[in-house]
Amino acid sequence: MAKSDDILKLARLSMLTLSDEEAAELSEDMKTVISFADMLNKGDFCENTDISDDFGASLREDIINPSYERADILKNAKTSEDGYFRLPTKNETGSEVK
Amino acid sequence: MRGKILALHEKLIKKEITAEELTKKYLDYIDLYNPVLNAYISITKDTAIASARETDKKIFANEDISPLSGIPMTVKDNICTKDIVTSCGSEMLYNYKPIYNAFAYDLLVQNGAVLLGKTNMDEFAMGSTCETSFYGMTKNPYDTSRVPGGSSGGGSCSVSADMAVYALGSDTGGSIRQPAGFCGLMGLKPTYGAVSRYGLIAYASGFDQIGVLAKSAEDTAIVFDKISKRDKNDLTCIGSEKSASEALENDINGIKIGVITNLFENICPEIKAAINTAIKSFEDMGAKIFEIQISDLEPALSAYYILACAQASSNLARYDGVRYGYRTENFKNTEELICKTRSEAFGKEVKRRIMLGNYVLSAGCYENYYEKAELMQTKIKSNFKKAFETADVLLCPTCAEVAFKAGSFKDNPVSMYQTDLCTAPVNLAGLPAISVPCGYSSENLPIGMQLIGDSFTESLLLNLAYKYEEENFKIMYRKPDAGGLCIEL
Repeated sequence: MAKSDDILKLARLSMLTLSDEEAAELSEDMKTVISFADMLNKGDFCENTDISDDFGASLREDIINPSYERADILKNAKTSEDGYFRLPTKNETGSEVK
Repeated sequence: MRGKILALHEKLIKKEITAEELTKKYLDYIDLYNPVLNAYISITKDTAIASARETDKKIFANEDISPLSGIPMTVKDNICTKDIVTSCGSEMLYNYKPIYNAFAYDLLVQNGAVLLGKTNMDEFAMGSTCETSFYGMTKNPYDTSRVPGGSSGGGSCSVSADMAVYALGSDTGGSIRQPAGFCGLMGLKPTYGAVSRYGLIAYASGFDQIGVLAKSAEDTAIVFDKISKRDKNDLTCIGSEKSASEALENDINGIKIGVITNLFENICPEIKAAINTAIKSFEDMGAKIFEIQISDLEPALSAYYILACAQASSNLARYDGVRYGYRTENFKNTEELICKTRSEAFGKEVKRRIMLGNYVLSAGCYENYYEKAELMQTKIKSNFKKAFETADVLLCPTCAEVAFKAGSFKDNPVSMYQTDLCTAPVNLAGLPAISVPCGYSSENLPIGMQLIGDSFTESLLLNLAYKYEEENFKIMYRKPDAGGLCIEL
């Protein structure tokens, strides 16, 4: 991971937009961070280790319970319509289209 | 009775002070000191006074009240509080008001807790200094040129500076224990599964736990007992059956404490000296002390960051400007809406960790990083399990250094990650641990030691902390220097 193309691909996967300056800075950062992650290889790995975290199932009865009111769920939405989240779209000039 | 909670509870039920008067005193101190320390993102004055008045009604009607009723407290800003902005220290959630309370917080509300406000934190809990918050840095009350630690830095500062009696924080890689160590507090990270994560806004769901920051083992135990309940909305939570409060005064004679010697290499000499004195104190109380090594801690730290960032990259994918939170004004299509929203509203550290997470999950990297990290997680669990065959509890420093100077890691994030060596492997193993204050440096900075237990042994950890406190109280809780911050009641 050194090339700026790789950083831009990774940014795309992360749903981020980076300026050239940010891409350059993050490219350097990622080299250091990945070297740190590579320290993992110093470990003495074991496979087939019998470690279970079984502290007892924490299950509930399969009963329908009331959920939250739709109006409450939509309270934090910037735009909503007829009980749905409304995702605004814009055309190439930046004007909103319905 | 050294804890504040029971002392204040007694004053309330004897009507020496009303809950409203008590709350207003704390709000006055917040007005005075928070502009300097910046522990709070939001102060919930009306909510606090309303809750306090409810407690007063019950007291004057001679009803029984919970020990937590009327006691002023704070909640880290990644824990949902209904209709109160919960921002995670990020511009992304600057206006997000949850429609429900987190389960752990709700248990305290049902017990009459008085919420003073939401405390500052590293953005989305990603950090160890409380410097990455969109709302500015919190300062260490012992030295305002230093950090309080992170990511629960605001909560830690609020309790340390007597702007709250106790705080709820969260710990994913050390985010309760390390700020507790830096601010001279008890900081308990429960076993993974002891406290519900319902309403804790996720960073790394496999490691996140809500825990307690307080100025005594007793206060920590009282709060832990209340919040460690099974929750039908979190199937990873089974609660804790044992009462930590009832076990506080148990005799610790014969308890086997394994000192993790490989975590004493390269630590500040004053920390080493303070912890050695603490070890002697445990020995004088009859504990059996021996040396132990836990191997693979450094690769475990890398594994922690790989797994945590991978989980975070998935957990933070939900922030897209569609259903809540920040939304960019500057977009031409849906992809730009999402990408620009995230790019504008996330800080640098968050972006870094999301990208690392996506990197280790990507094709060609998954086997070398994520899968290997999972194997290392199994290995470190095995290493700790083996240690608990001979030890009841393990002991080590909370951090190799005292509170860092602000800006120490500005250009070097990996150096900050490396400071989690004592704490993050514990999260990887899902174990409980507590930071216990055990002295001060020559610069009057708090020093913390960490006690690590086997799963669901919080009552033993708190018992040891309580017993240590009984013998060493005088060296444990000095007033912070920043303005003489102590409420005398």
